[in-house]
Amino acid sequence: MKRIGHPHSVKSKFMRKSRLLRMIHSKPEPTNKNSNQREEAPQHPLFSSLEQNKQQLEEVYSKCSDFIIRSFPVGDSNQVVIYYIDGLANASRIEQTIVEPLMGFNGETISIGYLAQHLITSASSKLVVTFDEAIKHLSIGEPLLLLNDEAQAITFGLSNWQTRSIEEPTAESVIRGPREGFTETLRVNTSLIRRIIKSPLLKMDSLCIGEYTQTNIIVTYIEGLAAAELISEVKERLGRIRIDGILESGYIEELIEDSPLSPFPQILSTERPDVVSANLLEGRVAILTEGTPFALIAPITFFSLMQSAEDYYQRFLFSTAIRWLRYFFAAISLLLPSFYVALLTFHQEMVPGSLLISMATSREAVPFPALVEALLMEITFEALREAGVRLPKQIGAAVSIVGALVIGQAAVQAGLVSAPMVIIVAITGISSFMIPRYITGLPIRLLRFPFILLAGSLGLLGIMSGLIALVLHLCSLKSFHVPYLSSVVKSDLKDIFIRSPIWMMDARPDLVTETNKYRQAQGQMPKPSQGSNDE
Amino acid sequence: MKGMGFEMDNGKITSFQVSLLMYSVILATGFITIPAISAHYAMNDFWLAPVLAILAGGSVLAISIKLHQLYPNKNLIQYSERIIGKVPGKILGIIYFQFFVFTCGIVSREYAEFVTGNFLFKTPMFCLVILMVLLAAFAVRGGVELIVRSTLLLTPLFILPLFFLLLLLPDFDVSNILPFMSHGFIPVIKGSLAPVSWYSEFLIIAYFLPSVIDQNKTVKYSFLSLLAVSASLTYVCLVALFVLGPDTANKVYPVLTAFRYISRADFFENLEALLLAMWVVGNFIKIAAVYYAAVLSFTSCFNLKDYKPFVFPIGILIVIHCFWDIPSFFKMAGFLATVGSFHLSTFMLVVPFLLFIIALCRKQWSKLVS
Repeated sequence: MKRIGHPHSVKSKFMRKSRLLRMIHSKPEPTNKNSNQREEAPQHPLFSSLEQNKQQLEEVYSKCSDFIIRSFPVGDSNQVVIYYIDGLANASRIEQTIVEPLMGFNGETISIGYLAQHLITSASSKLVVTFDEAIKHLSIGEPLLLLNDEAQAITFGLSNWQTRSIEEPTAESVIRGPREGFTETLRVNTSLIRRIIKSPLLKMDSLCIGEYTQTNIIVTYIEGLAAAELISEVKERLGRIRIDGILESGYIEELIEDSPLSPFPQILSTERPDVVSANLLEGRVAILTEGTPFALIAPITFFSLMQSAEDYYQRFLFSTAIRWLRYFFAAISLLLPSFYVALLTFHQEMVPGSLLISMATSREAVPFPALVEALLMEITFEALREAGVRLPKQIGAAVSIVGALVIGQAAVQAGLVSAPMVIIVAITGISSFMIPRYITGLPIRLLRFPFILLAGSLGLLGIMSGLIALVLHLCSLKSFHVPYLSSVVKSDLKDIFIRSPIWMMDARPDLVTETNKYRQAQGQMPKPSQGSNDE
Repeated sequence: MKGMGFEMDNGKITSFQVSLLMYSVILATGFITIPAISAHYAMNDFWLAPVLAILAGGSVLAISIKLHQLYPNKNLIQYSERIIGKVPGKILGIIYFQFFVFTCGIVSREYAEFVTGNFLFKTPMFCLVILMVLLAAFAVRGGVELIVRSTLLLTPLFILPLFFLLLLLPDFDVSNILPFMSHGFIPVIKGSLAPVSWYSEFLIIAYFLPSVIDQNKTVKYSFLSLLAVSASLTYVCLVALFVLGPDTANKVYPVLTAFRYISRADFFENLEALLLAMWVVGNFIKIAAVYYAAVLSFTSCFNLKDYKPFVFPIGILIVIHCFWDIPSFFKMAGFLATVGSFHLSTFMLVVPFLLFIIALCRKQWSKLVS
């Protein structure tokens, strides 16, 4: 494969699509270096001769064993060729609605328009006039029909491939709330959103990224709620992507982030249509990618990463309490091991006397300093956790439980680690499971280690310095020009430290356009007097 | 951008954020140092010192806000050039730059001395200083927005530990406050010199005012901040007085001693590590703010448009000042208790006051001429 060295070669690499077309057209390629827009790629019209068309298409699809060609005469003087990709197109319907009627026809010469309108019973058909269009339709499974002496072809909406059915999203489960999750099929995903937001103001702009995968990407937003600058910024960033293939929305996320080197995700990924819809209603933009159930949402703040969909479905008092619990355990998950190391290494006087004695007793036999002990255990724990995730489900659970028990129990008995350390690691592990989104847990798991090192070298002061550095980093992060902590800085706290009741959240979040400030009628707090049934 | 002055930093902040910043800037070192110094002069009336010093703090605030109103969107150095002329203004700018670098060095040294003297006895001091100055440098490089935003998030960590002093409530000996004013009023005035010099650090607001968007709220919030500062300081002084009594003057860090006394419910014991946490956070904010003032003084003085390349070099200067200016902890304590007060209040109170008078005269003069 060609290596990408400098920006120019990126463009020339992109011209590879044209190489495919050069096979079709032997005439020299108009090399327009400045235009790197996909839409401006030259269009190659179909020939009027069937033989030429056949030759070109079959050359393009040479060595493709799944490329089916059906050629047969129609009526007295016509010749028809049907192409489709096996497995993507519905072969039995092709037989039924295209081949059978055509074979049964025995009239005189016909035009392609007549053929489409009077002979073929397939519901949707579309005329194409270029090879580019023809290939595009073929590759999504639609059969292509060529007729002799016509510079046009017809495609039929008869694609039909195997899809996974709509299931409950496993990574974001809720107790109360819709149980539908996105699937790998883009159309299913858009329909799931459209079913929630029925307004035609819900827009879905389609893009195609990936030179070989030609992955369909849909940028969806609600017109009038999402800021126009945001929409154009998202499209601009997506338009900059030049890549061979997009296999998952993670590719896109990494290519359009604001701060790619930060450990914190600046784009939310979710597989829940209700989460996407809620964010669209708050004026954000969602990016759906073909082939993955994970939709991307931008811009986000740090606190959207700490929220769960269910926060909004259960009573607000409980949601508020849960949020506090979550923040507390996120802090525990980040800081507990380092705090323990700092206490044991530098600030023993902070530990109450009796506790100190029991801790000292259990550490008596341990040959390592607290720092090494903590690192050892944390790394082991992360390894166990990773092993549990990657192994097949049946073995995974056993390995993680047995591993934790055996390693924990045996290591303490052998005097390699102290019992309090095992407790600390266990609490840290449980706390990290409190974080509602997997992607939020990752930076916290990662940052735990520098914090342990800082605590081991500078004690509490090291932890505080680390915290200051973390705050500085978070304060300077941005997600699509929206500061990561903007809601705190703007003191817009009604959806952060508490989950306000729905009837109090009148104003939209600040990132939307000024004209459309309120999302609901004000003063909707239910009162007994509002009901008319009393009389 | 509006205004004709050089736009050093196009960050936008609010009055509330600036006042919160100033609260931490004054109190970061104030909590620890002021009670001992004031108690040395004012005996058991030292809790009055922070209240008395409001006058000085109020005038510094009034002067900086008024000067900013006279010369909108300009910082101290930029308008002093307009007030006293180009060359004297530049000289004053260099002096201020030097002054802020020196102050920043002193604050860093205070920070490091406190940590090595009480918590991390074996850690080399330059490690602590360099770590802190580096953190502050990142904040300053990020601009005024980053400084105030991080302040906003860190201030709770800075304020909350103070409430743990209330755990000492059963140990309070309220009679320590008596005899009230037995030595007359003069010792209280002497004792208020230390808070006056600390309060005069409100002048740093002059470097942040050009970035404030809601100028109409500045007066309200900054004076609220002043009141909050003196209320918190009086609270700390009273706690020290009630717990330690006349002994306060003999302690190096009375608040630290008070924190060490805490022992409640067999769990809240030896909470001085909390004070350490608070100390780190507060000093980070303070060093970042003074650092920012130093960098802005430098760049305004030489009309440089981008201040970012100068942040790290000036950081090195700060570290150097931190070690070269002060030979030992005792010299530093002596400096802070005696010369320091006058040094700080000269630059932060007297010079701005003179500038203000000259600015007013110039205004009157130009009115008379026209």
